[in-house]
Amino acid sequence: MLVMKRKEKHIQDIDQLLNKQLVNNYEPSFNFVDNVMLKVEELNVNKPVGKVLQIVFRMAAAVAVVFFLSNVFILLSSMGNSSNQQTATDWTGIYEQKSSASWYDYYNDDLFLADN
Amino acid sequence: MTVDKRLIKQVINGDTNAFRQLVDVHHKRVIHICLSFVNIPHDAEDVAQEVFIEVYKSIHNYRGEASLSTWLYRLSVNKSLDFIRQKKRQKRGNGLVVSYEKTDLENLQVSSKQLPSDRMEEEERNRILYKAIAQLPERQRVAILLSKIDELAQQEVADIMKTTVSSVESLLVRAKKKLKELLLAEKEEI
Repeated sequence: MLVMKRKEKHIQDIDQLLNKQLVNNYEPSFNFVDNVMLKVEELNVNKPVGKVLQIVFRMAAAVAVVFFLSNVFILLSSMGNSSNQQTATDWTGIYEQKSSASWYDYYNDDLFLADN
Repeated sequence: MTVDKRLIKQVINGDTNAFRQLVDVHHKRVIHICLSFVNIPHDAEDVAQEVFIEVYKSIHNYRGEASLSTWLYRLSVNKSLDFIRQKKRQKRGNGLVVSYEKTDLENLQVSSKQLPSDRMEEEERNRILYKAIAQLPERQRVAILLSKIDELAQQEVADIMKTTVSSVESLLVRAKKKLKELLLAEKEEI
């Protein structure tokens, strides 16, 4: 019974314990604000150089990306062209071989009526 | 326009004195929040300093959706949690046990009017309490630690945690229940 009572008391104490936390009594160091402002001033001094470097890096990165993309584009388009040309030659060759008609016949005078 | 918003505008225009005023107004609460998480005054001030530097760096991106204080306190919580995680990793790396050490707690400035025996007893109580709080799930821990800060209303705690007041209340109930269990278990061990 005594143990139970002690436990209950302990449970009731939790809120009290939490409220008693001494964090709210803590007084910050007197020079805290000055220290923060010192850091801010340091930041301001280093800022222009940092900004210039940042711009240079960004531009370099952009140039590199453009260079890479243009190379990739050139490479892909040259591959595409050669394969297209080859296929086109193949197909026209086969067509010309298998077809009984000649492409040049279309320009014959016999087709005058059809054209008009 | 609120004082904070006016000061922010001035800071964006390059007025560092306005930033000093902002720090002056908010530093105590920010340090209290950091201290409630990291428990060591020196570390809490370091974390608070990082918070203000971060604010200064990113003040141009502040859109005023949340009040400045909410933004500041949220940043304080996040930075404190990062600090704790980093410290845990370091301790794990060094092969040390992760717990709040007594020396850490001795650094807390306890009121000087207490007798040494009272002070020792209080330190011991705090040690047990901090140990139990450290074992709570992160959101419960954040809710209970923020609710302990005198100046913070429950709505502010909810805003900082990006949740509703009722969620904070339920987190607090669960946290206190769990704390009771942990503290009772601790007491039985003793």
